Amino acid sequence: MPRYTIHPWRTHTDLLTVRAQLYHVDTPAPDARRHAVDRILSCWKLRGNLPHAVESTALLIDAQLHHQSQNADRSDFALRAVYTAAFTRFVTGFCDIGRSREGLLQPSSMLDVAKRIGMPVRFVGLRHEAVHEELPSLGRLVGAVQEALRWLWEVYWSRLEVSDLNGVEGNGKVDDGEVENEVRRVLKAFRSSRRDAFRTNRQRAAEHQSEVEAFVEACGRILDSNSRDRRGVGMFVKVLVDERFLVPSGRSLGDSMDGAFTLWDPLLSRLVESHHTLPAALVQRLQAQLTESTVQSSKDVTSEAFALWLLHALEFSNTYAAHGSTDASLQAATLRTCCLYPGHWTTMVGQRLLDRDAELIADYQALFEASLLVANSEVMEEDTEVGAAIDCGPSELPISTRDELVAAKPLALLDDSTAAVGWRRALFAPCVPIGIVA
Amino acid sequence: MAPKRNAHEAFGNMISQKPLSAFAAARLAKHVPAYQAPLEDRALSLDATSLAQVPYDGTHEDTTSDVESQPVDSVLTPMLKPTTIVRSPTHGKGAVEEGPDGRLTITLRNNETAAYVGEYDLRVLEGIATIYGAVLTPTSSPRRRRDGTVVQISHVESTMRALDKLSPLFRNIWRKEDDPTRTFQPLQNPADDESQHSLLPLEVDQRTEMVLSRLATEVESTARLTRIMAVGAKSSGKSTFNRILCNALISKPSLRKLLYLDLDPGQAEFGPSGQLSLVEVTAPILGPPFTHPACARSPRYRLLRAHTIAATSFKDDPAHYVACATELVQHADRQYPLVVNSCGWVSGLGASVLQDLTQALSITQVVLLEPLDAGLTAALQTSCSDATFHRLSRQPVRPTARTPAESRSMQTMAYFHHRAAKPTSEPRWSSKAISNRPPWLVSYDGPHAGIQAIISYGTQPHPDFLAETLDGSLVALVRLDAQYQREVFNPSHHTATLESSTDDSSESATATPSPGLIKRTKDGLPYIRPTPTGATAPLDPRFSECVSLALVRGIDTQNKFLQLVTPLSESQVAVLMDQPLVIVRGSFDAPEWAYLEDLHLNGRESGVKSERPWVSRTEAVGIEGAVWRLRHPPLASDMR
Repeated sequence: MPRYTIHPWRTHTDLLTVRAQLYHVDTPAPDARRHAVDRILSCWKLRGNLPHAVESTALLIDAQLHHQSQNADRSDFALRAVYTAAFTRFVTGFCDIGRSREGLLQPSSMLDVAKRIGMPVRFVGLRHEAVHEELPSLGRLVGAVQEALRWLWEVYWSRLEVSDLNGVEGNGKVDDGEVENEVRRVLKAFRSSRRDAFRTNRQRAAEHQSEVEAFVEACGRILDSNSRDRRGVGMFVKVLVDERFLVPSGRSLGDSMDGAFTLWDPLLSRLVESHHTLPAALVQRLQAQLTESTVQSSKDVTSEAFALWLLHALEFSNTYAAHGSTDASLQAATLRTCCLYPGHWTTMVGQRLLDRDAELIADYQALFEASLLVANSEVMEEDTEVGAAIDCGPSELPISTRDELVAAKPLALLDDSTAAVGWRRALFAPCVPIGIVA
Repeated sequence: MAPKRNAHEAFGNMISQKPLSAFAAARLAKHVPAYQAPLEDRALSLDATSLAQVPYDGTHEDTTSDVESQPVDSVLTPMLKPTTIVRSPTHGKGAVEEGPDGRLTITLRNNETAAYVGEYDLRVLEGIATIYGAVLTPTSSPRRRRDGTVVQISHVESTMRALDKLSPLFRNIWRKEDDPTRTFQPLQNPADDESQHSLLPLEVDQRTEMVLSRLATEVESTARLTRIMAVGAKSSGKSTFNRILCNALISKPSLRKLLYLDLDPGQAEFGPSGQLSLVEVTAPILGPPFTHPACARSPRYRLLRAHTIAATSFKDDPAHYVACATELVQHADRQYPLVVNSCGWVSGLGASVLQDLTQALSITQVVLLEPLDAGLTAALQTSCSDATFHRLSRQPVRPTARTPAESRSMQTMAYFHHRAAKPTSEPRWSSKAISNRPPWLVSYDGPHAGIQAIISYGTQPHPDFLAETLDGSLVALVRLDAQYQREVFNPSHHTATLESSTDDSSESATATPSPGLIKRTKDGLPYIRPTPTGATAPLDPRFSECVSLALVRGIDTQNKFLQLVTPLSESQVAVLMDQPLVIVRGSFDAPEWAYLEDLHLNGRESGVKSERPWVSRTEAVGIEGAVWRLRHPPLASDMR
């Protein structure tokens, strides 16, 4: 079970940027430190969950910046007070956290905590002096603050995991074409192996099962390749869908797809189990196939096959996906596409989805019906005006289809109201995490 | 697995001069948020690097004002002897009859108690029953049976339980049912509760009974001009007392209604934290606070008016806190008794604020819960000499299983998931992750801006970082009176301040004296510059009203709108839309629960997108090992 930590920086890169600015790692820009300190103290601190090391560093550096500034008015006391306040909070914080972490009834002394965590004991001494005796002299404070910053670097900043994205860039980059060829080869072999098995009626034989197993492994390797940017999954799905592997040749309108499902399910269900990004990728690719031609002919055999596959894929990704959890967002995303691209087959898919799920009805019934009305009353046409109301749908779709999507007519219904009203309800339930504007 | 450590080992030397209350022990054990590693795993690894990542925000000392316990019915009490509280009728004698759909009909003799854990509807068929101080009688004919009481409890359709998919905090709030058709379970013996929490009986001692009956008499005799405030330190049983009092008063046939002034921003009874509210109560208060949020449409706990201090403690602006409370009480109908839920900060600044409050609210009855500082008692007695004082002896501590911060986040989460109910129906909770709820798109710039300004209470963020601070955080939506808005924000601000909008605030303060108060950040976010004294003047409670909390789901700087998620219904928003609204931000807790809901719901990263702001995934091996790659063993040489 993974655990999650909440931090005030948006991404790890932000934290690394701030580190570079604070410690001049590679950008010696003069204002960089000021900027980083402001960001920490008057933004991250207010968001909450700011690690004490980060806060302390910012406070100490703020004191240094105060010292360096050209302000002639500041008194000796003011300087010492700023240094002292920063330093005291730094030491007290570490000791308090250490004590509460120990959870003892009779807390250890600050000195004990400092010893245990390897903080120089003179830090605690100086803190004691500053709080209970005279303010220490400026020279001592300056030295102590520098030392404290070095210590913080040692215990916190130096140990930040440097994003290893950069490291991976260079090695093992495989040519896309090569991967696609490999996918094609494996899929073809799988298909003929299954067909042979059915022909000879030994699809349940152990021998054939182990063959399937071998294909699952081979495909698994392809999916795992380039796993960081998930290109393996993308290419696998692209070949599988775009090259019509899923559509039985010689199929005519209204034929059952059960044969194709039976043929592919052993492979796909296993892969969905082990690769949790596969269902979403597959569903998106199928959607893209359905929506690529703006006019969907009700006579189009291939479109029908893709529509049926889409429904089937949603179903089995629920059945086989890891933890047996339902991914409602996938269904919702599909239904959204169906609303935006009203056509013969998308409508069929949308209607079936609505029939299945009461929650979807609540959210989408009205929109779905509206999209049908529009689709029936007028022919789709290109429209360059971009509807502002789309805040989620497009992100789930390939970029190429996005422009068509914003041109879809139902959105135009909202255009009049957008200008004059300060509050509008977003048309769609977003499917991105909080903090992301799609 | 390591053998379980006993309390002695876990908490150190128990035979110290200062005995640790069970509550404090539970607190000590619970410093770590639920999504982090339990204390056990990390207690031994005391090294600087692991301390370095802990926020130092006042939760490590026991002095902060916002900490208060809250009586919940599920408690973790390793040190308390299990008392046999329940004289429960047994199945054998026909005292409990099981009806269709799992409903139970229970016959109780005098002074007999039945304990059921969970959610259920309770109906008294014959006789009289009491629950949490409330007296229940049959709706049809309240006739007294000589041989006892017959009650019926039945299964309810629980929507709150669905929240456990969204947050581990909501797991096992009630016992796990053996029987899926029932939302409740009989409890024969506290020890047989396997859901980790043993339960304590709610015992009302004689002294409390006496005070309660005196207060009730007072309420009935003084033409109801009674205003009651319980004063006590944190975990002194104040909230429990308030509930028993409310339930007792509400049970009076002559009353049936009272007003509740909720002034505890850290542990509110009826709303999210940071909110002060006036609530009309017409039903007994039974469950923990997250089960009964007040709202304007609720038939039982109707929200009359609310203000926000945008913080869990009033330490930053006590004057504003008192002003808000004083304003709220103006809206209290004098026909009904008023119960004031004060907060448990009874020393220092807290004490002087309490003194101000008792005067400003013209409290007539003060209930003092021991232990209480003698100085405060004396000060209260001199400052409101007209009031009657009641004194309650020290109540048994009711330790809680949750930290105040956890309770707050449960309450806020329940608040956001609460669906405004139709006047007659039960409250419902939506089990949809908050990130999947369609937000409101609220424009913040231009002639049709949906909000006028963003005001910060407490510490101001740097204007350059206002957007970053606001993004993904909780804010309060405050409606202003139109007149007040015109006076406060100079109407000509829009044209006047746009030019200087990109300036740094400190520069523009001297360079361009702007006629309006409202400045704009680079992104066009309207904010109010702090006064030279460093503080923002809070909104005058007489001319403003907090309508709701909102979560800033995102900021679309290109189209200049905020994406806000609020628990308000569409019709409520429709009413608000053309009124002057401002956003108040302050030191609300970070809405960590909201960032993680869809993760908990799906149990994995869903879809292809993996960017998730402000959240890092740490592997189960432990927080330190995962985020911080240790280059050498954790400073073993420095360990003693």
